[in-house]
Amino acid sequence: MRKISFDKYFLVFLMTFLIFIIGILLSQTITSKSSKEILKTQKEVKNYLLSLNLQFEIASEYICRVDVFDLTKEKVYLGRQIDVLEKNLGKENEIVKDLKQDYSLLSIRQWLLVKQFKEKCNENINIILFFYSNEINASESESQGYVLDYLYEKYPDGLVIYAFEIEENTPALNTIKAIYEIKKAPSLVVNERLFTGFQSKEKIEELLI
Amino acid sequence: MFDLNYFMDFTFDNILIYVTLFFSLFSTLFFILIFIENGKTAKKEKIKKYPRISVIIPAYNESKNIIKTIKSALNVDYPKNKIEVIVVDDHSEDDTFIQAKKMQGNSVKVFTKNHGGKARAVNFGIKESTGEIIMVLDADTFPDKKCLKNIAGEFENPKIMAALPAIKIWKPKNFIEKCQEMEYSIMALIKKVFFIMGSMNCAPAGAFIRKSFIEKYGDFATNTLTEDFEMGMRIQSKNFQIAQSLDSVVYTVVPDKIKKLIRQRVRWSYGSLENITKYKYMLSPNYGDLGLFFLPITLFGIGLVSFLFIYFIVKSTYNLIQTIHMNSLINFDILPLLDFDGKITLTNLITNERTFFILFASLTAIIIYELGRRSVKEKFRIEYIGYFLLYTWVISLSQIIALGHFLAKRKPRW
Repeated sequence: MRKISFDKYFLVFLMTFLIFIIGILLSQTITSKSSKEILKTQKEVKNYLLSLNLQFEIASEYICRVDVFDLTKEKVYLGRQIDVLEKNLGKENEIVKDLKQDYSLLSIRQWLLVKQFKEKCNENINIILFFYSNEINASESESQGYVLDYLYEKYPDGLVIYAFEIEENTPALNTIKAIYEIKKAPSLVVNERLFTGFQSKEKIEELLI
Repeated sequence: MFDLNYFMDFTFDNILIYVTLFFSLFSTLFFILIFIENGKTAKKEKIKKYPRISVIIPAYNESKNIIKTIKSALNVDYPKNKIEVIVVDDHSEDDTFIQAKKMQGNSVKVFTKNHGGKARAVNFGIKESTGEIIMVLDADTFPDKKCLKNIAGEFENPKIMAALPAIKIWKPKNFIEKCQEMEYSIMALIKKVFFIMGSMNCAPAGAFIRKSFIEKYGDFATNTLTEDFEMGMRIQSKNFQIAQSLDSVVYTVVPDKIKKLIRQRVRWSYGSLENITKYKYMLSPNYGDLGLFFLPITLFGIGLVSFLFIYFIVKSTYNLIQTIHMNSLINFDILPLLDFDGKITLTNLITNERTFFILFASLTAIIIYELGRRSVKEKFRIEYIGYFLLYTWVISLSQIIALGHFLAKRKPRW
């Protein structure tokens, strides 16, 4: 019978296991540090939502003095921070879910403001509502998102885009979906006109003012 | 605040990464620890009597190297009456035989025979030999001056049927050769650990083999691509041992082009698979650490590497197609490339525990290289980084080709 060094395998297995645990704990410590940042982000979004509510009140009186594109830029930045958090913490994380819902409400709020701005101040602003899904027809939604991202970069002073997850179930969003008869993703509302399915860059550009 | 949910992200990618990391961490730690624990203490016995050594040089179309190889075998620091050189010309198309004949003398015998491959040539030489120990020396391989003296002591132990010198690369010039130098340094450490654990199972270029073993258990196998691996497995299957010496050195010329390298490695990997299959009964606790650990990790390693390679290729091809598709939607405008903000942040990188493991695995890889390099006294090469990023892909590719050939039951071209 030849020698089997169970003791050595066990020892090394234990060490490897230990390193794994250390790695996980370490990364969680760093995460919990960054979770302070997360809370900060969360607070920022909440504050922003509140302040935007206020702004909305003020702005409805002095609406034509508001720089809507500045507002959108801030909102887009917050959106990206939430994306980063989602990647780190996962889709199912409560903080992420909560933030995404706040963000979506914020978008609706802002959309209303911009719409009002457009009507009252006679400004040439293109407004696109984008309904996407990560579950059904996800790749089409993804392609559409990519095109819209591009257009947003290309027309920084003439286009605002609000994206909503079609599965999201808040009363405010449900109302919008009902108004525009949104049934499936991807759907676009470009300057109040509904388009269902993927729309090419050229088609959207034609619709812009 | 241990958040289990955080870790429980059981996507396929994650499982694959954890299995790979655990496996590589486990095996590298194992090799490092065993080497540090025993590398120095595993001393060979003191030599009492120098055994007679027959150096067999099988040669096919080696007219350029043959004289140099014969000279290097004669110039070693070893009692002259205890050494003989036997050149077996395998019916070369060039003038190998004529060149070798020039060196014929008291301790050099030169033969030529019908072409039949390396194993047959070696077997022919063994029949003509008079030594107790056979050294198989490829025609592009040269023993160091102290090689024979340093290794002879290993045979004082009657359980040792073969002993391997450390293999070093003869004057590496280009990147591929330098990469192989690094690889051979690491291999020296790995083989030493195989030996310490009584599991060395290969008898490659420059190996010394006890002739009595060959007489009792048969010549080199002629029906395999890697007769050296077969001999190693055979020695193990009879419960004998193969020693790895690090202070005895053989220099070898290695492939200098990727294509040649891949061809060599395909042959090696195929040979490993072929011989593990032949000796599959050894995959059992009856064969101790070899059967329970070293053979299984060899197989698991080949399987895992092949799978990862294919998986990675498929995935990156998909991503590439996806990117092209996405960019075709915007007529390949470069605008998105100019937009960097917010996509990758530092915390995003660090908080991932994978990053930690990858850093740790890289650290152990560097330690392994450093230990191996020191044990065979090679100099540190900064190309190591390139070695890791590029060279490993070439080796993985060869393993896949070999595995493909093996599963299709089709021998790769020589």
